[in-house]
Amino acid sequence: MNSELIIDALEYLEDSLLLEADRSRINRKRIIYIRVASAMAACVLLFVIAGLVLPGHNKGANLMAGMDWRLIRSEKIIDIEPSMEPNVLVKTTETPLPETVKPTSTLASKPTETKVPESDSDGKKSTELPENNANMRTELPDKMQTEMPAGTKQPVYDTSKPSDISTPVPSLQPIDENWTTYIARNEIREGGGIENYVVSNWLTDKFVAPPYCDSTSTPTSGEISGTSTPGENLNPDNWSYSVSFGNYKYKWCKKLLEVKYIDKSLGSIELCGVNSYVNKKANAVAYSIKGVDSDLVMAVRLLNDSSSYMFINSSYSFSTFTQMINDLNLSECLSLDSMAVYANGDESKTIDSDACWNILSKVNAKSMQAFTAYLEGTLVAALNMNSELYGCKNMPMVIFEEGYVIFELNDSLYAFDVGEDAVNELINIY
Amino acid sequence: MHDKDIVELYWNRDELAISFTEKKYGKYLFKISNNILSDIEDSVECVNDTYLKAWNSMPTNRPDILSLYLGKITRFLSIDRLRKRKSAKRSSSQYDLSLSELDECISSGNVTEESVDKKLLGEAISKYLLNVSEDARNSFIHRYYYMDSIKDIASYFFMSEAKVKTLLFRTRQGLKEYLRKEGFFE
Repeated sequence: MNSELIIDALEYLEDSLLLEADRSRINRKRIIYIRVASAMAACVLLFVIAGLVLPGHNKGANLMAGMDWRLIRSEKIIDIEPSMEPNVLVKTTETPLPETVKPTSTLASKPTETKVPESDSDGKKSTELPENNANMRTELPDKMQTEMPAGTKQPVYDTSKPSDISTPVPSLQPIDENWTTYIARNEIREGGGIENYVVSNWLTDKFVAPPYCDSTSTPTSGEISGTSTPGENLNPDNWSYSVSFGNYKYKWCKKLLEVKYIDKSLGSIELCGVNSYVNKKANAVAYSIKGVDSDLVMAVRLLNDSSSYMFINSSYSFSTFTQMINDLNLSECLSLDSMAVYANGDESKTIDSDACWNILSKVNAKSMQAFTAYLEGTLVAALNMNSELYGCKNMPMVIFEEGYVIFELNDSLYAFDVGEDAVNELINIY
Repeated sequence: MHDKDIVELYWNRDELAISFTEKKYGKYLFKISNNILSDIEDSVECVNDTYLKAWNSMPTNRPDILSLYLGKITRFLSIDRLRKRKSAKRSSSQYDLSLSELDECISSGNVTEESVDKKLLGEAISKYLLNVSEDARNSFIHRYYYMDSIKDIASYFFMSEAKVKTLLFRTRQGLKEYLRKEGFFE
């Protein structure tokens, strides 16, 4: 009973003592972390120096191996297939394109490479399409857009036959039917260079060409539910329409990415593209929304356990981004509500999300192959490492539960398997 | 999410408060409870009871440090549950080990719960702890407040288990002497 009295009395210990004890434990953990990170940084430096001093020899790797550091998962990174390009052209007829007009294959960015037809007999360049191309959709960069020749018909899309699409879309099926994620695809309109976007329901696994949205073109089939009806001008202020074609329903967001977001503190941000990346091996889909300058956000959803991650460019706070998403009515397309934010949805881990983003955006820039390697792990923390000893300031690092860390040093990314024990120690910091 | 925001959710009777609390402090509270109960199911229940208690106590309370506030609730509930359970069978949790170690602090005195104001005793222990070394203080709190194992404490503070044991022993002896001088028991 007496000892229980002490136990009970400890309830009344000063908060400052309890807090100090808690913080003291955490601070000690931080020391462990700094040590681990510093050791890694030292290894990297040795690796780099060895590589520089002894070119042609794999001394650096030997050094690393000797220290029981392993460059992790490199084989997996190599093995993973490149992510699929969702931004593919939709060929609406089977008429082959003339060689003189080469469609762009990637629409995440505007087409930049288009062959100019050879000079004709008059020595003039011509971008006119042959008349037999009336039923064909061509994709021309802005500079190449010219008026359609007289007699050239408006393109007609056989949208009742989605199977006509020549380029297969990812066959990955989300396990959650409620997950209404869409792939956005931009298209350069003939005669105007105005960008339209079709957003195809991922679940249907099909693309169809979007109906045009001006007075000269109408959907050839299906119906538009919204404020407009087929044949009318679509109200540009009301940019979202559900379009049904046969058994398929599609979400068509006319101005999905044309909307400019104006914020006094941020200036103007123009969203200009959405990319999605699919990796079947990792069983994950990653989305990045591209802004004018850089990616704004990357959202990743793991299909096998329905968990999602979102990484936001360091330029924007989460609240700003959320506001922006809401303002743009993008939340439906992004399925934001179903997404956890940051690591495992734990917002307490957001303090260094910038660091995480910095890494991920670079990985993304390098290759989505590398990025997908991350998806095989469970992200537990992202932080900026500072080590006076090794001169590391704000060195971004992400830590994975499976026992490896990835960090950035001198504009290079390094991944090391430090073991689960070390990572567990680090996890406790958070 | 910051503690203040979570507390605000409680005050607004927003059920999100519970989920945010769980996300942020679920593991922390579970550890406290499991240290005491050594039973996963019971610990989970205690943590859930903690959320309920927090829900019922906010408003009126507006804790500055939510972790401590919740930790105290969990600790209280866990000890309470253990005592009820113990009437049937004595377990070998860290709580029991802590208890037997603390016996030496006041075992010489013939003290009953009723005769000592726990709050005063707690304040006295706080005063005593403020005058011992930081390592001793933190080890003591982790051992007897959070009921962490010796091994855990040793890993927290980069000490050997033997050193932790020695440190705790000396702290207990010092506490015993201090409490005797303060007149808590003869």
